[in-house]
Formats: sequence, structure tokens, C-alpha cells
Amino acid sequence: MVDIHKSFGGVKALKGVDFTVGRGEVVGLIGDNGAGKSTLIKILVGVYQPDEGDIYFDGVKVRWSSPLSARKSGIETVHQNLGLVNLMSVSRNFFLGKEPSTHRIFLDKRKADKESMEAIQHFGIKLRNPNETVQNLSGGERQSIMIAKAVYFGAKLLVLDEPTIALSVAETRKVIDTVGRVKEEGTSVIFISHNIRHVCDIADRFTILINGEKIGDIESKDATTDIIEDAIVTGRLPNREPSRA
Amino acid sequence: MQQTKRVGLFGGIRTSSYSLVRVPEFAAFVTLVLICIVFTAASSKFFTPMSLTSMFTLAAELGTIAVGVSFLMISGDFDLSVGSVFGMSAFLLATISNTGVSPTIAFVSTLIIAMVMGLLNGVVTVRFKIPSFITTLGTMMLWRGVLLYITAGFPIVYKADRTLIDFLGGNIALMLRASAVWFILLTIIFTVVLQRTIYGNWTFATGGDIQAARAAGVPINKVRIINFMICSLLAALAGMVNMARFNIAQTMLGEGKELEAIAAAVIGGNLLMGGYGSIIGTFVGSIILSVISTGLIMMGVPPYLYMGFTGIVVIVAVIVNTSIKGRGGS
Repeated sequence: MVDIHKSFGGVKALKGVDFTVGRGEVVGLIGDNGAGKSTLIKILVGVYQPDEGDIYFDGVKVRWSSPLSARKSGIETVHQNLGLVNLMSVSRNFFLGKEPSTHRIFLDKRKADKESMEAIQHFGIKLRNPNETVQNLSGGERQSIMIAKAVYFGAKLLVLDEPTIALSVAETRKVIDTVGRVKEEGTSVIFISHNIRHVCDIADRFTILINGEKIGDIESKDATTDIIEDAIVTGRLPNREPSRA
Repeated sequence: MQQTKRVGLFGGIRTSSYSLVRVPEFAAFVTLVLICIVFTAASSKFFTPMSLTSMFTLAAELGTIAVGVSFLMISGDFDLSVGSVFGMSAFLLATISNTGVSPTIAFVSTLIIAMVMGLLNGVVTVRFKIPSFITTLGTMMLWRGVLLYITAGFPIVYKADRTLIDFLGGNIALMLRASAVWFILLTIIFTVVLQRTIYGNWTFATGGDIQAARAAGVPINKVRIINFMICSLLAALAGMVNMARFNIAQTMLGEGKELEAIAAAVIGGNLLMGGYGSIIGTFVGSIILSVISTGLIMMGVPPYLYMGFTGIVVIVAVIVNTSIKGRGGS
């Protein structure tokens, strides 16, 4: 995303933000409330249109008119509690909207059960029963299923919106592990979170926004939680020029 | 982690747990058995072939409507107009056939008219984003009003050729009528659609979490509208079968059926809010209702108490269903 500007009424939410994510890279998008993370992402996934600026995806300039077109290009968003139908089983949820069929109208339950389990277990989630009702699963498991589903169906870029919020320590670890596996497979990830420690565990790079402006990028090898927290509070990164992506 | 046992044919939505108990039809089935035991003890006439077939036929008439109502309920909507569609269809079959038109054409035309009524329910609900409860409350009154106006309060009698009529509602054996066959057939068809087809998956999803369904690419508006049409279609079929049996229809025919159908669905384990349920459960629920009314009559209970007793059963059934789901759940 290059030089993105966006205003709502009189409020300038984004003031010329550049944002890049590389192939197979996990980028932590960090910033306090009101910094513009949410707006930036909504523009990326096609909910809003930028007032100024361009978006390039896979090297091609794009303009998505709706979330559907962004999704078609391979961008999937995962929210913790939205996206799965609680009363339905894992298998049914996994293939919802893209059900495998026998004879065109019948649900190929065997294939759905088998492949959903394989995909989910591949990401390290210990689930054995495809008929388990989603509402019986923990927040971390639900999240991981949505991530596995997105990757299974070919997502190139995954946007994780506060994935570890309200999760226990063990659960958080599981989700972070899942994201790690996703990265290994070459899918790019944008990890939005208030919890810097969680992001630190997995991100390759951090992009920090304050008040609609990008303060800078910092590689995770150069970063500690303290440095990032300081950056958010003071607006300054150590020894850094604001980088242009 | 508890393992699931594959139990019976009632596949699809089940949680990992002590299997049988969680199957939605289970509570309804147990209720039915208990009620039968009570009535058999209370009256020697209860458990006879004549009485059983009679109760099943009675169940079939409400049950045909209830199948449509519960299928729609699972996708998240209500249809309060089924009673009016029921009455209107009985009227239309008779009136059109009486003019000399082939009863088969009358039959098909009535089904088409019913589908249009369902389409109206669906389109208005979806397009204007009003609760289906309200839309169908309106159409319930609309069609009943139209029927009252056309008939001026007089009952309508079927006077045309009887071949189709006997096929629709004729006698099979003892007290068993063709309506029983339609009921079983429809239960099987819609159970298969719900549990084994992609459309069934869409129906569950639309009722379970419409936002998630939409995000997943399910054509939620189409699903809802189609299910409204199915519901009206089945109500019309039931109405015409009723005309086939009695040969006459009062103008208020069908009044109250909408709530009875909902009761049957709910007793059968269908969630009022949608997203979960079973047509077989509705099947059992319909039988329970007819067993109660017949059983009470046999015991010599004043007929007015039937409704009160049914009301209690509905509440108890929902409490039991909810607690069963709750215990095995989170």
C-alpha cells in the first residue's frame, strides 16, 4: 500500500501511510487505539476505498470495490468470534460455501470430514472428530480452524485481527504455532494486536502507526517489547529514518 | 476428548458426547413413548390398530405443514400464514375443480399459487429486512381476509371428479389414509435434503449464523426465499389433502395450524431461533400432538383441556431439549 490517505468527515484517519508485506512474511501492525490500524486494514480488504494512494498486490495495481473482490484475490480476514457457525460441526463449517459434492447436490461428507481433519491437524490442532460442534471448541481452536480453512482455500495473505485477545496462555501459544506453520508454507500474514509480546513471538517485522501516520518499520531482530512500547508512546524508533516501503 | 459414536441414521449435527442423548430427536422420542405408556394404561382402546392408524393419519395432516414450518425454522424464519394457505388451498382446489377444470390442473394451479404466496413472504421479508414473524402475520390475515370475502362465510364443497381426490386423501387400510404416505415421504425427502445435501448445509448455516453464512458465500437470500416457498407449498398440499378427506371446507379452516405446527417442530427438538433441528424430530412431534388429543378424548377428558395440556407439553419439551443440549455442551 503506497501513500494511503483516508478521511472520515473532518477527521483524517490515515495520512500518507505506506505499508508492505512480503511473501511468507509475518508483519505485526502495531499502534494504540485510534492509530488507524483498523482503517488501514479495512482499506486493504476492500471495505473502504482510499481517498488517495494505491494498492499493489503481487506486483499488480489493484482497486477492490468490495470485500468479495479482495477475497477473490486471496486476502482472508480472521476474527476470533466471527466466521464460524456455532451450531454446526467443524467439517460442515470448514467447507461452508465451498462444499465438496457427489452428484452435484449431495454433500460429500466423507471427503469433507477427511480433508477438514487433515488440514486442521496439519496446522497442529489436535482435533479428531470432524463432527464436533464448533461451540464446544475453545477460542484458540476456533481461530486455528479459521486460519487452516483460509490457507486450505488458497489465501495468499491472512489478516489476523486481535487473534490472541481473551485467550489463555496455552491457547495463545497454539495460535502462534499455527501462524508459524502458515508462514512456513509461504502465506503472508498481517498480525494486528495490542499485545506486543504475542506479536513479538512470531512477527518478522513491525509497522507502527500513531495518529494515522506510520512512525516506521522495525525488523524483529532489532526489536524488543520495550523498544516497541516506547515507539508507540513517544513516537520515536531508535536510530531510525521512517522507512518507505 | 470424548469420542463420538455414530448412532443411527440421524447424522449431521451432533456433538461429541454420549451420542444418543444428544441426537435432537431423542427427547421427543422418549416423550412419545412415555405418553403412549400413560395412555395405554388409562384406556384399553388406545393401543389398537384402529386407534393407532387413526392417530397417525391425524398426525400426518398437521405433520405435512410442520415439515415445511420446521425446515423454514431451521433456516431462521417463521411462517405464520400456513394456516391461511392451508384453508385457501382447500378452497381453491374445490372451487377450481367445481368449474369443470380437471382436478389435476386445479391441484397444480393451487400449488403454484401457494408457491407465489411463499415467494411473497420471502421477498418482503428479505428485501425490506423485516422479521418474518411480522411479514407472515400480515399475510396470514391477508389471505384469511380474502378467503372470508370470497366465500362470504359459506363453506365450500368439493363436487368434481374423485380420482385425484382419492389418490390424495383416500383410505389405505383400517384408518390409515394417503396423507400418512405423503407425510412419511416428505419427512424422508426433507431429512435427506437437510442432512445430506449442500443446500441442507446452507439451510443450517443461514439459520445458525447468517453473517457467517453470507461471509462464506452462501446465497442466504435465495435460501430463505426458497424455504418460504417450500413451506407454503407443503401447507397447500396439506390443505388439499384435507379437502380430499372431508370434501368440505369451512372458511376458518386451518386457523391455529400455524401455532400447532410450530409446537410440533419445537417438541421435536427444533430450535426456535434456527440453525439446529431435525425433520424426524418434527415427525415425532406431530405424532405426539395427535396422540395427546386422541388419548385425552379416550380418557373422557373434556375437549377444552386438550389445548391446555398441549401447551404444558410444549413447555416441558423445550425445557428438556434445552437442558439436554446444555449439559453436553460447553
